[in-house]
Amino acid sequence: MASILKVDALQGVTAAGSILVTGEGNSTTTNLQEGLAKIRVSYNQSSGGAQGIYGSFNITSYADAGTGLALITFTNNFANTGYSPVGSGHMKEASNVTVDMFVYFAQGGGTYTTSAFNVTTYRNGVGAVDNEVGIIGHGDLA
Amino acid sequence: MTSVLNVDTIADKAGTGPVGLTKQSAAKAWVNFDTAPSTPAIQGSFNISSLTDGATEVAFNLTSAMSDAFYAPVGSGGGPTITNPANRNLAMNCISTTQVDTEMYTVANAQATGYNHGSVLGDLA
Repeated sequence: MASILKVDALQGVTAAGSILVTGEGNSTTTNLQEGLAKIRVSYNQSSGGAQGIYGSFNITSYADAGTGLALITFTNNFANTGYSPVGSGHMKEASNVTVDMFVYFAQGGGTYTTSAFNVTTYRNGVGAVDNEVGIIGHGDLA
Repeated sequence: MTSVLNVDTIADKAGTGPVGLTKQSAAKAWVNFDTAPSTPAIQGSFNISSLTDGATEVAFNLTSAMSDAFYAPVGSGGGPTITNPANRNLAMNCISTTQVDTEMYTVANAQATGYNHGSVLGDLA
């Protein structure tokens, strides 16, 4: 019979923010907190629909900062700038779905701090373009 | 009343297997590294043992292996500015259960350096 533990919050004993869980192959453990995404956001910057956030987690705000450029601000900050956001984007318009489209982060330029980052969506051969964008980010919270 | 469970390690009922996170999956590794220096440098990471510098390509190596080579690495690049021509795209490929190869390139399809962001999802060995 499967056992289900129902609880509202988990904390480590040795360190409150560190709990190990057994991996799928039963041969190793992995850190639960390290594996959890700390931010998630999907938004639309294009004119093909309502602009703004579709859905999010640990995001305070999204701001349109120019063509294809957005500023995403977090609710709970990261501990340092060594976190790892990844994302993808596509055109809202059906005729321009995804052609050499990518999302990149201005680490080393623009805003890339523990509390916010600039993200740009780009289409090869066209330049920065407004898109629908999805982003997740892993890293250590402050 | 809110319930809080304080524990260091969670395993299944038998004590040897994984527990299910209901309708959720956690990443097994993530990394942020800069390939601009002559020796690529890790800025932050989880379950990453090292980088392998292959000149135009840089691989990151996992401390704990994945169960097979069909896991899902995802990545994005970061350039020094927010505007073209500093844009960076990042390609990733599973090389083995412990290694993911990456190559950063510009919109002109030229190999480039910059900040590499990657996350790995799948099953551990």
